[in-house]
This record gives sequence, C-alpha cells and structure tokens, in this order.
Amino acid sequence: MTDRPRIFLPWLRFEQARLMLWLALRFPTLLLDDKARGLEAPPPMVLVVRETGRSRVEGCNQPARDMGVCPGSWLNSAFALAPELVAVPFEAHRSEQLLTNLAELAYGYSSLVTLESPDLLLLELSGSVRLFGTLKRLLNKILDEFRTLGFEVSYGVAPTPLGARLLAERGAGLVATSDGDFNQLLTRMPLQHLALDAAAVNGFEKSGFRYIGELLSLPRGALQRRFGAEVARYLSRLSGREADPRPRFEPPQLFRRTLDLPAEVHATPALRFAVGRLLRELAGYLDSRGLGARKLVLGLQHYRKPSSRIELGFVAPAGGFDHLQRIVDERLGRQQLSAPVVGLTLECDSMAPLDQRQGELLSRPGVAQRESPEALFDLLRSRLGHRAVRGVQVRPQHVPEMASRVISPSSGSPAWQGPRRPLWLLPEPRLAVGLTIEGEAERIESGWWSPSDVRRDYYIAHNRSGGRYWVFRARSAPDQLFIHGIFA
Amino acid sequence: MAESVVAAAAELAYAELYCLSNFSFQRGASHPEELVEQAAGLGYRALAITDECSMAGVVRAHIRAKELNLKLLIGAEFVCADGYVLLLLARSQTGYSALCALITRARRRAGKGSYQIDLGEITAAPPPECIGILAPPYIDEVAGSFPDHALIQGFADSFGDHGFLGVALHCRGRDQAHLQALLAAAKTHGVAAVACGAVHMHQRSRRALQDVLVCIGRGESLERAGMALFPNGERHLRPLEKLTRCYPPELLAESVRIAELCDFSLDQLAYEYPHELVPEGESPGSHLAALTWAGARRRWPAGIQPEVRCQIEQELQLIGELAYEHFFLTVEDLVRFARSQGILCQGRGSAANSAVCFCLGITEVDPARMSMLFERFISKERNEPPDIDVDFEHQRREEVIQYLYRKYGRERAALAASVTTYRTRSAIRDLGRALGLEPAQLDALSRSMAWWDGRDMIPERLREMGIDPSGPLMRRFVWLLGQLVRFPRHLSQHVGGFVISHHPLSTLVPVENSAMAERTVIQWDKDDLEALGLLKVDVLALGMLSAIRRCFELIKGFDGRQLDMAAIPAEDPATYRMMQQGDTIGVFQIESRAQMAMLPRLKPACFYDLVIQIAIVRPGPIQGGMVNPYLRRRQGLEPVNYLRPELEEVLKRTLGVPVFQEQVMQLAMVAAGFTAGEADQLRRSMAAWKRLGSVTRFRDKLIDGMLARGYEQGFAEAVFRQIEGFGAYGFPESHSASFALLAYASAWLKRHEPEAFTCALLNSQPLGFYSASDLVQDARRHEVEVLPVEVNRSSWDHSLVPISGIEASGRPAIRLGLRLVRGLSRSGADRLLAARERGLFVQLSDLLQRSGINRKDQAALANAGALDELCENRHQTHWALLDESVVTADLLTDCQPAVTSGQVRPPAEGEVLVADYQSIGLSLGRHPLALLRNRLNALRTITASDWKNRGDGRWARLAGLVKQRQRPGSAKGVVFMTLEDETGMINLIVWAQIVERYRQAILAGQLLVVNGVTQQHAGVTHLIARQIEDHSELLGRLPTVSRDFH
Repeated sequence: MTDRPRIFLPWLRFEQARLMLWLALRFPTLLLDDKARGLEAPPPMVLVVRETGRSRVEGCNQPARDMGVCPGSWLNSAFALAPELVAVPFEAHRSEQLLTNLAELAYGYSSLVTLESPDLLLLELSGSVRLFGTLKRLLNKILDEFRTLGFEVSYGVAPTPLGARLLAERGAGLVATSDGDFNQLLTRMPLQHLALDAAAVNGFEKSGFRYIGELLSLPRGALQRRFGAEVARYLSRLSGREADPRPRFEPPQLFRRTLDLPAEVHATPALRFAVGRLLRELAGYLDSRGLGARKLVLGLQHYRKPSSRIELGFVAPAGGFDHLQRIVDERLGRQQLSAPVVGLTLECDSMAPLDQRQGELLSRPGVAQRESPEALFDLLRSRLGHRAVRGVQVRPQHVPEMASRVISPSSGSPAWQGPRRPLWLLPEPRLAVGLTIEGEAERIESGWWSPSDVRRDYYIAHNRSGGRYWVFRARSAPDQLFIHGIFA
Repeated sequence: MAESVVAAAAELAYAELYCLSNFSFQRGASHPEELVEQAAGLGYRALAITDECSMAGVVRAHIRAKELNLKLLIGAEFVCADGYVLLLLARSQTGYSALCALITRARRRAGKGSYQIDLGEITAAPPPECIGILAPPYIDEVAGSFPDHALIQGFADSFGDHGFLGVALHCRGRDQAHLQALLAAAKTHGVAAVACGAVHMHQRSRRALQDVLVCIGRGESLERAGMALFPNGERHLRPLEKLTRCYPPELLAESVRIAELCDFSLDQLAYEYPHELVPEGESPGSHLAALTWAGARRRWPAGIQPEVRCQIEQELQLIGELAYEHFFLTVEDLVRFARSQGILCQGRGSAANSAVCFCLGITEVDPARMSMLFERFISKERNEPPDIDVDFEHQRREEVIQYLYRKYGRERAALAASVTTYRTRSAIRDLGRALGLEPAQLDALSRSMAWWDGRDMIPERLREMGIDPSGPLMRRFVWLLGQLVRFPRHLSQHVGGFVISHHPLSTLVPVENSAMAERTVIQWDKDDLEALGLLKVDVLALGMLSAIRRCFELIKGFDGRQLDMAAIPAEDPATYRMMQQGDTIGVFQIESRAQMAMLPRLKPACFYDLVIQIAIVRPGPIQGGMVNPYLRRRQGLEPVNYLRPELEEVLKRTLGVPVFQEQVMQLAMVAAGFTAGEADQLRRSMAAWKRLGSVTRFRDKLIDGMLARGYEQGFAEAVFRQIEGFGAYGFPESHSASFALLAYASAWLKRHEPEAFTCALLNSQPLGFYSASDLVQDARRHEVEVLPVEVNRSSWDHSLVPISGIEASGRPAIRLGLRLVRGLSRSGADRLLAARERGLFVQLSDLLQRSGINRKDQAALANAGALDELCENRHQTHWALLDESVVTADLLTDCQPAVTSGQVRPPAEGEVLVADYQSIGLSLGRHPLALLRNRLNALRTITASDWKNRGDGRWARLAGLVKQRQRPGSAKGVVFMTLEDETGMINLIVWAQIVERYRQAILAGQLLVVNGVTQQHAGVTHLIARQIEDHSELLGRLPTVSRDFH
C-alpha cells in the first residue's frame, strides 16, 4: 500500500503516481573480496595505499577487523597487531573494473543502473519489483547473488538515489519504500551522516539541529542563503523535492569473434592463418576506437572435449596487427594441442586508450615503430613465461638485501651511487669455496630495525679462472666466507 | 721526531681529538661523562670534546675528567661545504676566548639552533692560539678530484705549524686509498697528518641509537634515511690495539703531540662582575657599605638594634673577604630600577637570610623580627657563589629583563640556558616515528602510561594494547627508549637565570640566539655555571605579585581608595579566622588541598604561625615526622621539653620540633659541634638527592659529635633519622617568611575585598592551583555576584562594576571579560570595543557592520552566549550569523531580517552548560552534576554535603567530577584526588593496590563514582576509596580539566 506522495511531482501528473524506488549496494571491501574469492577461510587482509613513502590501511576484511586492525592506521602497526596479515595494494583500475563487472550483474535486475566510484551501485527497482513478486524477494535474490560470489555488501532502499546511498552507508539494511517511511527514518538519524562538509555540519549543529529530518522542513531560501546552493540542492534531492537524474550504466566494450575451421587442425603452425584473420579484425576494432588490448583470450575448440584457453596479458595496451600477431604466434608456438582444433574464438574485454608513445604522427596508426621496452618485455614474457621476466629496482641503502628489490619490469630506475657493488646479487648468500680475498674489508653494520640485520665485513675475491666475486664474513661467525654477488 | 715515534709505539699512546657528545644534537649518541669514562678506561692520553659549534657539553666533561684524572681538551667542530670538517682546539685561555667568540659570531647570525660560517672566513682570520685540524670527507664520497688541494693549501697557509690534516678511517673498503691520498696531500702542502676518530659514541653498542638520532634530526624513518646513516658502528672510542692496526704509528703519535701543545683547562677561567656601578673615588666595599647603612636608616627610622648592627657588620666583612660586593651592587641596582617603575618585586630563597639584602631593599624579611642564618646564604666553606632569586611581577618581568640588556649590553648580559631533555612521552613519539610505527598507536601508548609509570611498565602497557612486547622490534624499542630518555634535545632559555659579566660574555662561553626575538642565551645551564663558580641572578616571575598589584588598581578604579602593601593592616583577626577554616582558595601558598587540610588543625593566629604553616606542609617535614608532634604540642596534648638549653634556643619558636632547614643546621652546630660551613654542607647534601648516599657521610660526624656532648645514642640516631627524612624538601625559614608576607596580603584581600581579589586573580590566569571556573564558584559561594560576558557590557579584562537596583549593597560585581572567550582574537575584541564607543549595539546587523569582525570571532562570541542579548539565544545567533543577508541588511529600512525564530529551537539547559564550558571554561548556571542529579541518584550516590554529615567510619558512595590528582613521591604510591559536585568538594585517598586495580578510571576518568569509608578528624573529612567506577559517558561532550601533580 503506497502512500500518496506528500511531495507533488509535477512530471508525473498525468501518470499513475508511481514512486521511484532506489537500491544502493555498497561493497566496502571490493578488492579484498576479489582476491579472497578462491579461499574458503580467507586470512586477515588489508587494502593498502602508499602515501609519502609509507603504506596506510584503507580497508580491512572481517578477519582483520577481528584482530583489531582499523582503516586509517599504518601498515607497520597493523602488522604489530596481526603478524600474518596479507597486504593488498590498491589498484584503481582493478577496482573500477570490478565495479563495472558487478554493474553488469546488477543490470540483470534493473534497466537503470548507475555507478558511483569507488564502491557503490545504484539500481532503480520500481519497474522490477512486480517481476519478482515482492520487494523482499527481489532484495534477497540480489544480495544472494553478490554474496555467493564472495563480496561483502551493505544496502539501503529509499525513494531517492541519495537517500538510498545514505541508508546503505549506515550499513544497517534499512528499507524505506515510501516518502513517509523515509521521513520517519530521517527524523531519528543524526545529521553527521549526511554527505556534507564539516563546515556545514558544524553550522547546523551550532544552530541546534540534531537530526536530518529537522533540516528537510527548512525553507530552501533560508538554506541557500546560509550554506549555498549545493547544500540546498543536496537536501532537496535527498528528500525527493527535486529530481536527481543519473547517467545510465552501459555494459562495456566487448570484442568477441568466433571462427569455425573448415577441417580439423592437428598442429599449431596451421592455425596461424586463421588466428591472423581474427587478429586483423581485432586490430581494426581497436584502431577505430583508439584503444589497445590489455588482455586477450584465444579459445581453441575441440570436438567433444572442453575447449582450451590461451590467455595473453600486455604490459601496456597493445594495438597494431603486427605486434599482436607476433606475440600470439610466439605463444602459440609453445602451445601443445591437447586435441585437434575445430574452431577458434578471440575475445577481448579489457581495453584501454593506446599509449601515445606507441604511435608517431606521420606513421600508419597501430603499427609499432621502434621496439619499445614494453614490447620487448611482452615478447620475452611470452617466450619465457610470465614470471621469468622481472625488473630490479635499486634503492639507497647500506644493507645489500635492502638495496635491491625485484619488481615487474619497467624502464627507468635511479642509478646507484656509492661504494662498488656487483652487477648481480645472489638472492641468498652461499658458502664460498676456493676463493682468494684481495684488498681490504668494507664493514657494513646496519638494518637492525628490519629483518635484514646485518653485521658483515665485505671483500672482493677472485677464483682461479679470474672471476670476481663479492664475499663477506659475518661478524658473528668470522671463519666462514660467503658469496653474495658476482661482478661483471 | 723519531724518538717520539718509537716511544709512542712502545707505549701505545693516543689522544682522541675529534669527538662529539650528545650536545651535538641529533648526531652524538653518548653523554660527555660516558665519553670521558670510556677514554680514561681505554688509557687514552687525552680526549677532546669537539661538539658542533658548541661548548654546551664541556663543563660536564670537565668535571668528570677531573675526577678521573684524564686530560681534557676543549674544542669545537665546524661542518663546512662539500663534507670538509674543521676542528679547532684551544691551546690556552686566549685561544679558548677566541674560539668562543667565533662560535658566538657563527650562531648569532643564524636562527635558533643553527650556525653559519664557512671555511674561507676562518682561514682568512684564524683564531689565535688554536690548533686547526682539517678532516676531508671519505674518498668515495667525493665526485671530483680528491682531495681539494686549493682548500688544503689555503688552510695550510693560514694555520701554519698549528694546522693538521685529519685522517679518519672506518673500514669502508677504500681506507688505504683514502690514507695514501691524504698522506700525499699532507706532504705536498707541508702539513702533518694526524689520526682522528670522528667519534660519535663511546661504544659500538650505541650505533642503533645514533641511527635513530639522525632520523629524528631529519624527520624521517630509518627506512627512508637510507645512506644518510653511517654504514657501520666504527665511529666509537676504539681500543689502542685496534687503532694501531688501522693507522700508521706516526699519525697516532701526532695526536699525542698535538694534545701536548694544548694547555687549557676550564679551571683557568676568570670571571668578574661589572665594575661600573661603583662611583668615582669609592671602592666597591665602601659603596656597598654606604648603601647598606642608608637603607638601614630607612628601614628602622627608630634606630638599629645592637644585634642587628652587629649582624650587618659581620655580613659586610664576609662579603668583602669573598669579594662579592659587585654582585650585591648589581642586584641592588636592578631592584631599585624595578621599584622606580612601580613594579612589585621581592627577593626569596636563601638571600632572605641576609640583613644586608634587607637593607638594600632586595628582600623583605626583617632581621629584627626573624632570626637569620647568614651562613645559609654565604659562607667561607662553601666554595660557591651565592644565589639571589628575585621575584618580579609576572606581567612586567620583561621590562626588567630589557633593562638588564640595555644597561649592560647584549655582550655582557645573557640568560643561562636550560637543556631540554627527552622525557618518556617525547622519546616514545620520536623513537616510534623513526622506527616507522604509527602516530596513533604511539599516542595511545604515551597516554596509557601514567605520569608516574617507570619505563619498566612499558612492556605491560604494550601488552594491554594488543602488541607483543617480546617481538624483536618492540624489544629494541624498549631498549632504545631507555637510552634516549634524558638525552639532550636542544637548548632553550632558562626561566630567568641571568649571567652578567664585566668582560664580554663571549670570551667566557659562547652566546647564541634564543627562540624569542630579543633574547640571547649562553650555552651553559645553571648546573654548569655553579660548577665553574659563575654568579647568576634569577629574575623570576611571580604571578601573585601581578595579581596583588591588579587588585590594588581595581580597588582604586572602583571607589578611589589607594591601597598598597604597606597599607594592609597587619595581624587582622578576621583574616586569620578565615584561614583557620581552610577557606583559602586563591590565597598564595596555602591554597593547595594539603594546606587546606592542615589549616583547621594548625589554626594559624599570627604571622609566625603562617610562616610555620607554609613550611610544614611539605614532604620534608611530613616524611621526617615533624608534623604530628608539632600539632600535638600546639594543641597542648603533649608537653614541650627540651633536653638542653642550647636546643631550646634553636627549637623554641617551633615548640621543640625542627621545621626549617636553618634549624637543622643550627642543631648540627650546637649539638654536634659542626662549624657553620660544615652545617651548610650537610644541608646541601640533603638537598643534593641526585647524588645519593652523601648524607651518610655526615652521619658518623653528627652522632659522634652528639655523643661527645653527652647526648644519648638513641637520641642522636633519632635526630639523624629526622634530618635524613627532612631531605631535600625542608624550607628555609627566611624563604618561608618572604612567602608568608605575600600569603598574608593575599588572604587579607580575599577576606576584605573578595570582588577585587577574584577579579584580579582571573585577570592574572594562569596562576595557582585553581582554574577560572573554581575561582568563580568559590567567589559565588562567598556571595560575590558574577555577571556573564556580554558584547554591550564587557571589556577585554574582567572588571568591577557597580550593582544597581534595590539590591545594591555598595559592593561591586564582577563582569566577566571578553578575554575568556575561546577563539576570540584580541584584534577582533579591540574592533568590537572601538565600535561600541560610538554607541551600544542594537541589533546583530548593527554589530556586524560597525565592528567588522570576522567569521571566526563571530562564532566565538556566539558560542559564549555573548550575543544573547541581541538574538535571544545561541542557536538563534548561530543561525542568524550564517545568513549573509544579516550582514548586509540595511539598518534604516529593515528592522530585522526575515523572522527566523520559528526555524530554530532554543537550547536546553544541558546544551547551554556544555557550550559554556567549551567556550569560556565555566558556567554561571547550575553545576553539571546538578543537572545529572537524577541519574546519579539512580546510581545510589549521595551529595558531598550530605556525606560530610554522615560521620567518621561510615560507608559512603559518592559521585564527582575529577578536579585534581596528586601522587607525591613520598607517599608510597598513594594517589590523592579531589572530586567536586554541586554541593562542594570531596577529598579522596586511594591506596596503591586500589590505584592499580582501577588505573584506567583514575588516570583518564572525568566523572567517577566511588565507594569508600569516611574518615573524619579535626574538622577535615576524607573518603578512603575502595571501589571506583568511571561514568564519564554521562557528561557527553562536556569538557573537564583536572590538574595532575607529582
């Protein structure tokens, strides 16, 4: 039984007065849930953001909260409370992508879906309720869908988008299907929960207001003169007095093509031509949009057997037929066919604008000119395997273990300035045999604040064949000599 | 040369010439004493302390070096461009003075804590009689050619035979190359090379702390500091065998040879007070005598008593023998200046033992009325200068200080330094930051430590926070904390210790800039000055003097009466009656909780009683067991008997119980035969509790002396125990008397002019034990009317206003001033007052337009309710202020902008209370607990006034706001607390086990409910706490403030 809306909506004058009903879904631990999806008992995990050289906790999952970790603290302190913590770095792109994927799912329940980064979806449900019977049934279905996928979700339902978001942020599963219900909730809700800046909240508090409901009955002029048009508009939209149109979500770009092969193919070289055709189509698709592919999936269909998938990732968005073909060929070359191939699919759902560097003004677009470092990395990785290609970063530290760090490949890292160091540092020092020390010691005693607490005397040593090594004696065990690095 | 090399090699001799102590802030990791001890232990020939552009640590090193018989060289380090370091070592006093002058120049031209000098400047004019050692950076750290030959040549040309090249080797992998390059350079440029350690710590084990200090200095964590840290811990005082392995023998021998060239010790410093105060034709002694006798005639116009005359003559003679005339003349001049400006001042401390000081007007304690012990002040045996402390009015002390600077010039007058050291909280914060721990957690750790917790409690506190203290990082944290606490952080200026000298100070000790613009500071603190025998005058500020002067001014302003200290009638019975009831909030020296508990028992009825009252309520007499015997004898419950007539003379005035320090000294003299000087040493050893165990030195002497004079063993031992218990905390009688003068004056004013007195105290805040809120409540209890802050009526200061209407009694009321309003700027208030001159404010728009105050000031006034007369209440005011149209309203046409009163509800009583406390720190409405009384009744508590009628021994349950927490070190872990409700105060005693059980509530609680047993005795009621509950959540957002005392 819907109330007659108390606020007169002029554009619905000639229709049956149907209220809008908005559902806000909030995913507070989106990235963490994504990472933990495969695990039955996820460990305590935190989302970290790097800030001025230190890592700060942005969000934590329930196991982490149970151990006393809170958002806002530094990572070191979080580790002090929960040593087995897993720290997940925040990746804006991945977060955006996940939200988009979830929006696609939501699209199945409402034709009006809108995203609010970084972690909120809004669905307009008034059209869908009838399809599912009752609101309660619809809500349960939606929540189930997301929860079974492993995502933590809090929700709120209200007649306006801002209202739904407000209720979702409260996290208490509040549902207000009519203006009357919504107003009732708001009369007891402290105004600190409004998405207003501190100055406005302070102004209201100082004037004696405590609850959101009290604000909604204030004349618009009075609000505007004191807090500006923004605030007045926000409150109007929250209560539904003013419309709050939202951009509709459209499902993202997807390239998907299939190709049936005229005859069974038993060896990969024979696939080359067909794959090339698909790639050419893809290149064309990308080129016309100025995009590059971040990920490709090549599916090989077999007769009466499940299809094989070959996934390829690119360090930088890749476009250009030649480049794509070279990478795919390289990869295919390594592939063992488990069965004869009868069809191919090429799918690309992850695209991004093409890097400027990759094209020059007068060249044909999409054709890679010089070998960029990224292209080289892609090639090496497809030849040697993803994990075989890494980068080394150099940092100014006395302790050798702390001075070099393995990262994903990139070009550019500041040069080392300091005492002589070998080109190649062994991951673990090894006992030295048959080496003669030349020259004097370099004593390094540092790193006591970290796991790499080092007290060593380093020397340069050579073996009979003239190879030069960086060796040390630990101050606590001086009779043993270890190799730590090799000079070029 | 060859002989010395052989000899040196045979004896393994070395002198460390490059050594930093922790007075090179955030670089050195050992105390000067530790460095001296280590060097002596290792058998070094000599040690130089060469802090960075500083002499701040040398006195401590000097004292320790004398004790250990180690030769100490004095020098300084200057860090120049490109990593080159120059050391200068003083060869003689001339060299030392020149070095101090150089440091002064370098520091005075830079901001506080930094210095500015470059090598070129020094080589252009090298200080005379100084050794220069140039230490180039490590060969690996230099990009261009190594070493810089132009630089070295310039240095060699300038320093000649006294210039050396310093070679510092620390196992960095290219030591040989570095050494060879420098040896070659030395040969080329004709300077000798010398080994030096670039020592930053006394032992290798301090390297972790040294790393932390560097990080603190850079404001970075250890991770980020990277290469800014030293690569290893070699920069410590190394054993001789190790050094011989590192350096060629000639370089080591050179260090010894250089040390022998230096022959300066701080003992050689000569120091004189300014001469100019002595007029032509007079000698210091004659001039001082003239001033003294003139003063004596002024003080005693009726004639000088023979004993007093005798005393003055003796003092003048002793002053002459010890050559302290200039010191007295300087202080007399200063006090005369202050009086001429109408600034209230009074000497205190041991100087009040001097009749000469009384004649000169430095102190106010009359030798005719009080017995004096001059040896307490100056004696031949004391190898120390006297200490004169003078209190000036707090508000005007700056004028006095500027007078000193003007008269003697900045070269000859400067403040002593005070070394700010790390305390537990600051150490936790800085150390934690360096280790990369998070600020919020460090804060939580700091706060969870009670101020009395030792560092051994830290693991426990960590565990309470859920952090495992046995993990490697936390163990290191606790260990490093122990080292860091009490390390110097920086120099700041001493509160008022002035050093004045005849010759420029910079020839004695370097002078640097202080944080305040018009101040300069020497690099030594008062302990250093005392150790070296330099005189200082303490120019202190006493808030009560300002308050008393303000009180006089207020009275004059209100009804024209002219009062001053002399006009206050002495021995007023009404005043003493008030004191006897313990009604002394706001009264100087007798307002503390302990004092108020003692007053009804001691019942002072005359001036001398007050002198005793002030001195007896202190840890010394309490611990020594003097208090109860005295009280019993005073009440006639115990007979007073003196074993001997000589004892009677000493102790008669305090009924046979030693209360004052001088009595203890006199006892030692008459009962055990100590000379005056020895007795003074006994007193000082009691006071020097930092160096424990020295009192026992005197034990035998005292007991033997007493036995020799026929006293019994038991009695002698009891006396010694009393003296020991007396310890550091006994008051000198003269000091107590100076304070009693002020205590009486303030008590008289409180009794007879309560409005002016309270108003003056409020205008002198911060002052004393009580907050503005307490003072106002006390005043209202005494039927003083207090009026709220209002824009149309208040001044900046609190003021006295007449009460009009039928209730007029001729007494004034106190109008609270705008200064109380938190967040109101002085300039805003001035604008308001200026606009008000032209007419009172009629509406809010009127006020806003005419005064033009900014938003922040508007909000501050609104919060305080100062605009309520224009806008009805605070909510209306805030709502109206938010509206822009209010400011621009046309006053002629609109009477009032669109009526907004319907939109906003008036504040509830509790909201007004909270706003009052948040904005002016007090409320003229009901007490917060009056509003909560229903809730408190539901918790089954009673009020304070009901409780006091219950009687001794009864169980009681009370609720109150925490006003004071006190944990005297002498009380074995007992905490005294004062709670307050709307009917009065509650005194709590919490035994140590109860403290531990309810720690959190005691440390942090604002509103407590306490179960306990009543103890009522001689008019004083206490509650012995058994259970404590924290109900602070009932207060909501009410801010409360409690004072914590050690």
